[in-house]
Amino acid sequence: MSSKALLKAQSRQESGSGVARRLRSAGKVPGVIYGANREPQMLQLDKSELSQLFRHHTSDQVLVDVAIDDRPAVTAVLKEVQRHPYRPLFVHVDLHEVSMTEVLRATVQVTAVGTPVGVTTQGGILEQPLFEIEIECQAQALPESFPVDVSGLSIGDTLAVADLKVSDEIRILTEPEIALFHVVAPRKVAEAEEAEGAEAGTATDAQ
Amino acid sequence: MPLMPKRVKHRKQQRGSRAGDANRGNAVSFGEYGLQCLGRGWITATQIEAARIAMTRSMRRRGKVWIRIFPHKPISKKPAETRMGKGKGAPEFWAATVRPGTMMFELDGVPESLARESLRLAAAKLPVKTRFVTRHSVIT
Repeated sequence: MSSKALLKAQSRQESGSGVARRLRSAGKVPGVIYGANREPQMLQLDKSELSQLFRHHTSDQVLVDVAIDDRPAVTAVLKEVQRHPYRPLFVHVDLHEVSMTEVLRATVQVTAVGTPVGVTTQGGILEQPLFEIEIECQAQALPESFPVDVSGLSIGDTLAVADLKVSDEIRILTEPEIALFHVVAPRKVAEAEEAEGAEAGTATDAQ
Repeated sequence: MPLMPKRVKHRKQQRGSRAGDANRGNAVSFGEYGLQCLGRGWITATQIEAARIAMTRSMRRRGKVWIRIFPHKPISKKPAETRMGKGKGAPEFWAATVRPGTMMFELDGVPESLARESLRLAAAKLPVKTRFVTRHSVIT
């Protein structure tokens, strides 16, 4: 279960790109909070608080307590965090107010723990075709990520979504047969050189 | 062989716009490390190929490389010492338009130090400013 951090937010009345731009330049992040039992409300959050939050969380979908205008905090999930393509800036934050027993859908990261035998002893490469899976669970059971032990994988072995061990409170929505990790053999040097030679030959022909 | 489209509807294109930032194709999506573009411009098929070769040679064929850009754009050129007019020149090469934020190459299956070195060598073949990023280096 994710640990909850406290985010302080202020409500705002003005909207639009100009307002958002001014907020960002003043060290604030425009955001919105919505939920089943409330009207959507526009917010502004502190950029440094958000940065601090993500220093301790690897996933974007974090369960937080949000105190709006110093009122009692409500529980919310960071539904979407928009970032600038290359500058260290938050563009916008979506917060989804939830009750701890509400069932919600979330996308959770899957991370590899350990180094596979196929990599350490056989020189293979660990590939991860899928980095996130979709789950359904109560807000209180929302995990930050699924660490998966891959140390037992040899060359040719695959670990699929169905092999994930999760608690009974969590239902995985992603197709169970989709591969999460597999260890593949490295390309043989001779083969690779042959391929490169053939490529060079074709390139010369084309010219 | 340098990358190029198999078949195109029109042989020649206008230059198009390079304005704005890369609002998609800007994240590390396949590998663990990436080379992100910080400038804007055209990357020719030859430059992409040169960067790929520099990377794979530096990695000594370990790991895996993803090329996230493709030269879709035909660039035409008039022959030397030709008077202006008489129509658009013949297609000369293919290029990919890149904007700040575009993830150009990705790597996986190698240690970070080797990935940094390989992508540094690849970046030296490109006409734009770039930076090394990892999947977990969250931009905040």
